[in-house]
Amino acid sequence: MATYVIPYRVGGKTRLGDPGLALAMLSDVKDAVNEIADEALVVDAPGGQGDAVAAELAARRGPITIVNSDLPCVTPDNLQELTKRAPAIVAARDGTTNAVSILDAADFAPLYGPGSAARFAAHLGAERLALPGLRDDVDTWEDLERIRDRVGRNTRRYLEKLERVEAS
Amino acid sequence: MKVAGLTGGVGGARFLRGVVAAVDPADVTAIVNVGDDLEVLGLSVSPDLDSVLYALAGLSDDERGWGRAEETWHALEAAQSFGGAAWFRLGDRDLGLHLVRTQLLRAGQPLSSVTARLAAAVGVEAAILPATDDVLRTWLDTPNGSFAFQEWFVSRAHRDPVNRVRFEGEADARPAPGVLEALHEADVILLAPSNPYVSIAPILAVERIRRAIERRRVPCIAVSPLIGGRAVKGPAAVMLQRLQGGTTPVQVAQCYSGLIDALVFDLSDAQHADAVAQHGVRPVVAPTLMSDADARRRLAEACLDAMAVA
Repeated sequence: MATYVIPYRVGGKTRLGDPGLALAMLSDVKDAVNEIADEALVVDAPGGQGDAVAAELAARRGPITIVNSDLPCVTPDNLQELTKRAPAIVAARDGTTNAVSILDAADFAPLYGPGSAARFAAHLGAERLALPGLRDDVDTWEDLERIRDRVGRNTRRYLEKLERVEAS
Repeated sequence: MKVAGLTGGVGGARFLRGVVAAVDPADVTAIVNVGDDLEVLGLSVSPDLDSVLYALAGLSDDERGWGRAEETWHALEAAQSFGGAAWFRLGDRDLGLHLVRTQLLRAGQPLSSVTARLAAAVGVEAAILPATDDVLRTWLDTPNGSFAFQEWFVSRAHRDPVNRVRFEGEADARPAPGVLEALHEADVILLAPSNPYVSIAPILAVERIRRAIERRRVPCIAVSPLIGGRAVKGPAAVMLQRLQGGTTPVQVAQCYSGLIDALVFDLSDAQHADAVAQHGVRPVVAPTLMSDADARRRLAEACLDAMAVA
């Protein structure tokens, strides 16, 4: 039973300031998760994703994989690998955490924030994986520019639409 | 991300244009009311399917709100001059669709296959499905008698107060092929801002569709058709007042009791958010007037966004 949790801020509130893009990236993550998940939950995270995930996992047991919603390059293979090697994490370039797999929901602690990858790794005894689709989170338009050849179809479609609007 | 949307005609069709702008159109399935279907001058007409088809094909008339753009009515005027009924406004371009559909139906094809064929012909990428291929008809019981939907709505200009809405054929109506699959495969189910009683209820009258939504494992999100207690178009507010006792988002939520996780309603109704939440439905406040393409897409985004469980 593979369960995935995707924390997401309703309203698409991100530093990018583009709710449509946030939704497109979430759609790519959701598509990848759907390929392999028995259960996939998108969890509203108005006050920070740690608390939102903790609340969702409070009543659960068993293995869980938590995947951020700003990972438009993620593939089902990446996710499967992460889940298979639990406990494991994939860190972002800035040392925050993009994805976490745990063997039991009770092991989760809301450790997100600056430098969280090291904290998750220590707390869970987790292996740090360098899965490409899970490493590239999108905080800025520059991030997106760097990875745009690899983004999923929803994000690609959204970016193409933006270009058409700008061109017209 | 797959989306299944239950919808009526005009407002719902407009909403679906926003949905296909927000996600890949190939991921969208419209499950459309057929309770208004009728025969006009010997032709099979499916007003809501047609509104959705025209809207998603980019052929609809945005000003008028129904029918095709650049429409004329010469054939209808000619029919009238020969003593034919002209109360239902079939346009010249619109007639082309009804001719082809009627022919295919008479040849024995089910409405779902006919609709798929028509949609493909005009390049619609989203799936458009009638709720059922079986005969299901909406009737309105009023103090002045019982009327089939279009007679009440068009001929009598929905003036008669409605005491009861019923659906002829509901006991035997089966979901059209693809409907249950779309509901099971969806990441989110949307109820368009259509009239709950005469647009969405006839779809839910198909027992297995209602059951699939009751037993859903994904969020179901409705959009209120009311803004500031009024309907943008049509009799929704009058019906809600009479049949549900009010015109706030709470009454809309009550229409969908047990079926929805969230209700999206207009900023101007924001003061009702707590009352909606007390009914166990998550309130989502957003601008819901679909004045242009941008507004339609943003409303769809607000709905898809609301799929995150609270």
